[in-house]
Amino acid sequence: MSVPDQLRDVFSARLGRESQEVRAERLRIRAFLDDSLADGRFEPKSDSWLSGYSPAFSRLLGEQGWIGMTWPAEFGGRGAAPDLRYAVVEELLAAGAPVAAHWFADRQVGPSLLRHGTADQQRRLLPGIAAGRTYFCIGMSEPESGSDLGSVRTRARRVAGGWLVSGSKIWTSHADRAHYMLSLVRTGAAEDATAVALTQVIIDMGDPGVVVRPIKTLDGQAHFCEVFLDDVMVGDDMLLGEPGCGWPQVLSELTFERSGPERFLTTFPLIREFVAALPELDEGRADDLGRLISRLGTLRAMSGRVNARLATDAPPGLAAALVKDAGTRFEQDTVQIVRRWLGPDNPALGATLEYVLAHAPNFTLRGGTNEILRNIIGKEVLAP
Amino acid sequence: MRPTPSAAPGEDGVGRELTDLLTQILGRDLSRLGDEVRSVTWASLEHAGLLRLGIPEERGGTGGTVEDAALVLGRCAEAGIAGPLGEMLIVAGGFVCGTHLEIPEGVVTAAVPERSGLRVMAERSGAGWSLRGTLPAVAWAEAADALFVAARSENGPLVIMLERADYRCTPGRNVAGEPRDAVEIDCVVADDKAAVRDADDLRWRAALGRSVQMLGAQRACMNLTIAQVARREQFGRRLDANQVVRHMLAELVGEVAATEAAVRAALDALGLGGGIYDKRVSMMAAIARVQAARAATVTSAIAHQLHGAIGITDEYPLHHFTSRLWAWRDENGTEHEWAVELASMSVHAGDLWTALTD
Repeated sequence: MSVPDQLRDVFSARLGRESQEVRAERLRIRAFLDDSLADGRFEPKSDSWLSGYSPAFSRLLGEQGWIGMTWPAEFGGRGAAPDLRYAVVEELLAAGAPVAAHWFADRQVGPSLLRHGTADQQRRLLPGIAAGRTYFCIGMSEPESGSDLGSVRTRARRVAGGWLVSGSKIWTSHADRAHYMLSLVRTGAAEDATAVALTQVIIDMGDPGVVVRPIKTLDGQAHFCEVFLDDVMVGDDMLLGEPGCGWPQVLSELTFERSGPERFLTTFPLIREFVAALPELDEGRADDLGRLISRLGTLRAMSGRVNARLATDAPPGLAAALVKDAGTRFEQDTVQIVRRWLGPDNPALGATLEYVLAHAPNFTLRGGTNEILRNIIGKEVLAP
Repeated sequence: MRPTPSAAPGEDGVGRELTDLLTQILGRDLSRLGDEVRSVTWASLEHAGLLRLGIPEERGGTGGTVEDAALVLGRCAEAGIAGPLGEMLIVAGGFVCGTHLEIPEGVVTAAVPERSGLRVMAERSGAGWSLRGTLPAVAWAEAADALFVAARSENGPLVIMLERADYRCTPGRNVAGEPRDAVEIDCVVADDKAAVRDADDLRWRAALGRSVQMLGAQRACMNLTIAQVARREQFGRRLDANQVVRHMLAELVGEVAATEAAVRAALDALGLGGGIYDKRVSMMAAIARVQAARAATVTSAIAHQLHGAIGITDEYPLHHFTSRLWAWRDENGTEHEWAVELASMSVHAGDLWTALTD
């Protein structure tokens, strides 16, 4: 099938109404979030999956069974279908709830452990993640490897019983507070092709060879970190998958992180405030709001259809890239539209707008820039 | 040969039968491009019963679902077939449903009701109705054998089936050269040509129909453009070797995929029952309509830019699709009007998130 036909196949797939089970779970977490809001357990915030860091709230979610939902019960999960998790994540993001602490562990580390990890790793790590108590950061980018991830230089040297890792990672969100880092390192020889030279390792952030330096960003926060690794010992039991298999593993992980609701719901709390601040719609504002809603409804329709295929043998990588490109641009458009109508000093918005303005540039950078995504899409579409 | 319509085209055997039949009639290489009403292609579609899908058999149709009708509509738009296809397949079907009226033989068109109100007045005249009014731009009105209109009367809203002799036309055309004729109605029709029915929901059905057609035209723009940049060489290399070309292509493909998902979601909502008046259905139909209009602008602009001058020639097929997109995006309610309607629908629904997820 040609690539345009494959995309058509994914996006024109029929999707029935939410099952009663999913509906019930959606309403259950919605009620929980309403109560939590009323009790002051969190302040709704845009970009809450990266900036809303609350171990207490993560533990609450873990207790309610909302982390690691799709994992087997023996590892603390509920064996839920992907659409159940999808609805729960949507509700959390739409409410602007603080989910950053457990976010990466829930979204990608857990699924990767289930796919590539050993039984021992699964037993040791998954229950803590599902309980909202064990947090991971993701060590991919390096000072000299941004979009060009395959060029990472952090090296792992073979020693008796494991590997000694040296190098540095950068833009590692919440590395200063995570228990572990899932990291991509070079285990192959310098002349080896990327496809066989890289390996994923789990680094204990408590190791004395690990030094973390937070990087202050223009929003005044410092969740991005630089991580220095100086002969950090990684036992054989802390490799994820076989040595040399890191690159294909990371590529398949990316499909999961590109098409989720966090790629278009980051600014939903802002849209909600926009609607609340302007109960009287004039034609101009209504036009902008209508366009936003059309875009949002369309992105939900796209993302939901990609999600329905994630669990299959052929996860739709290209379709996921399309969702991320369109969704993150929508998030940035949202900020500009609200800014244009309400201005920075509008009392109805308080400090919200300033906060989102400072975060918006990152929407189209993190997880791979949109330009790289478009390179991939443009190239694949033309592939014979 | 008449296909057995199904609720699940494209996925099961019966849906494939419909798809195969369409491929047989429409060809694969735009060979039927521009074929009009009463062409051989039109006759083949009619003979196969494909122009009356989604209309119950007891109303003169060939049965099947709106989804079947949408499949035919989208494929015809992608093949560049001209004619009041949305009006026949989606709007006229809506006019006759819930009434005693039957869809007549021949080329049928329909005047899509406007949000601002109905332009035709009906008054009792003996055992029939006296009708008076003008309609500014009705698709293929002059070429049609029958026209469905909505009218106001003191008994409430009516739908009426007019024969060609019942109205006068002043020919007009849209930017794509499609007939959009001004219609003047001043006639008396028998009682059995009229039925009491509120036709406001047909605006949404018409919007969904145009969205399906826009999706088909966008697919055609995409396919032509992909072929062009892979074929054309400049500066000693293929156009697609340029990164900027790939980025534009990625944007084009992304917008078509977005329309694809939005239109499907609207059809899914409609297929789940509740009718077009259901909040969920009208919301999704408006979402798809605004998305299709947005993508019409983006895809037509990128397609022309990447084609260069060949794309604006009459001989090359691209303009059949781009000029229709220019017309359709603002027809039966402009892109702006649909955006405003979607916004007010959402605000009236209360919480936006609830409205989107319910």
